[in-house]
Amino acid sequence: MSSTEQGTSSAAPAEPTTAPESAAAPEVPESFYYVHGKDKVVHKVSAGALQHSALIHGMISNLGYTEEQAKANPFPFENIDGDILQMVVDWCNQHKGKPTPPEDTNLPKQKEKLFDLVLAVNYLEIKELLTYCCKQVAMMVKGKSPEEIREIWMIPTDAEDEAAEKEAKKRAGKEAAGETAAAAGDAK
Amino acid sequence: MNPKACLEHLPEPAKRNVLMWCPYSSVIALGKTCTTWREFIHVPNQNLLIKRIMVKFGDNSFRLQVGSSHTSGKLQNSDLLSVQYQQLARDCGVTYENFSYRRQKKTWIEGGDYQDLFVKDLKILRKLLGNSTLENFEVDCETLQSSTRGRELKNQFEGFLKTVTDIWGPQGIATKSLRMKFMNEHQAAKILSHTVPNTLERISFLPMDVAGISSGGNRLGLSVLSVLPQWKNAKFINLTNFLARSTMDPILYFESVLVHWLFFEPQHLRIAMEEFVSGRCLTKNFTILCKQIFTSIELNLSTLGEAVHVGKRYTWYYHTKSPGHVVELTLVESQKISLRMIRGEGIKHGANVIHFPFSSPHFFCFR
Repeated sequence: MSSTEQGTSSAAPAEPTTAPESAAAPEVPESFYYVHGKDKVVHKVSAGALQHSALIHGMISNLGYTEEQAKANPFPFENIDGDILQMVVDWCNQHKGKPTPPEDTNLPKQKEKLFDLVLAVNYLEIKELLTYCCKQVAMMVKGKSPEEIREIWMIPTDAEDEAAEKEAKKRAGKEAAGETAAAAGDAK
Repeated sequence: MNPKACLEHLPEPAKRNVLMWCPYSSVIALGKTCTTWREFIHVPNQNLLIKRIMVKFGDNSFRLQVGSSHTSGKLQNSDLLSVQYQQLARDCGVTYENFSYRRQKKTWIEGGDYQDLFVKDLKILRKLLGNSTLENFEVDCETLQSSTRGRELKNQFEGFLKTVTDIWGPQGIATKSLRMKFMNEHQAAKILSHTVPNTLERISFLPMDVAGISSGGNRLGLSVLSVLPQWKNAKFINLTNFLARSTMDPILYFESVLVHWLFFEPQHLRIAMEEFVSGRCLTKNFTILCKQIFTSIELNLSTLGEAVHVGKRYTWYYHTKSPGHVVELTLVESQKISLRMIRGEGIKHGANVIHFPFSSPHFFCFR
């Protein structure tokens, strides 16, 4: 990448203030950043699209990456599945610089996917998309009895929860006892 | 990401966001799924839009009705959920009815107590409300049939009222409109006194008897109620059903009443009068008793039309739309004002029936 390109990419965040000065001025090339999820597949996203994510936006402004540096160091989101990250990137690209519509009908209907999307979006701090996703969750909960919600969203009952907690404690206790026994053996 | 799509594990901002889009029926359903959601919903000020709460007392059953509204895009959808808690022998039946989806579901809780379950849910509601003002609060008492258990039921109702008001605590119920069905004035005063002063805009009184048993032999009045601060700023006071017993005239008690040439004071009395004379008042007769009636003589009572004047008593007769009937307005200086609909032949000798000089439309009629 040439030095001039580097210069333009670093000047990109100032674009909204400089653009109105002269309408005939040549269009400033957009800068791009790179992200990857659990599957290590790198996605190229424009800075404008990434503005939706408060987390990435903050990272970009703190790091002050040049385009070359950004390409060499894609932002790693190991806790997000590749297909979910792709969905998020697509959404950000689609809504780049546009006012968000009141409804979004392209959200996944599968609850597992939707759930993962909520977690990812919440982590990436994409406020508008989180609202759409949560609205979709609310629609899926609407009109359902507690039992139905429990069944659909795999929520354990209080009794099941307690039993699982007890078992986990027992297991932890046993593991701790095993570890101390092993440590004592090593000491001998 | 989490391999198990379990709502329990949603992060807090997402939970709060989900709740924002949920109607109350879903909120209460979510609250019953697990401890995590229950505890989360217990956090006050979740900014849920609850418009209306109705608590209903019945024989061995309580009912809680909640009207909420939730935003869907730019539109506000209303949602009404009714939960009935009923005791049958040692078990408790809980019936959920969602009016929006016309769904009804009944669950039985072995060894459960209907009062405990009601209190738990009402407490959740109270917390959900935070400090927001309700549009409407209703206290209702179902028509109770058992005359033999009249006293017992009255005591149960007292207990029910105490439970409801205790949940709201000393700060009181903030509501714009209060509708109450009660057995005696004392109970009505108790309910009214638990509302936050200066927030009530509309009050509806619906006195009732338990299986024909009179309310302690006292004439049903508003002597206790009318001095409460909550009553003073209300713009609309509905005195429906004050003629529960046909022999009894409803009586309104006030500390003082000012009769002016175009209006009566206090303001709610003026509204009652206007409603009466314009035929919108469901109470066909009523008498206002007060310690003092201020009538500025210089205001000229003749503005009310030509009166029959005997000592301190002035009587006017006005035309009505009901054939053969007139409205009799009687004012006894410093004592009482009464309005009643009478047959035309009942007017005093020599009196003229005139058109009511103010309030438009100028007519009276039976409803």
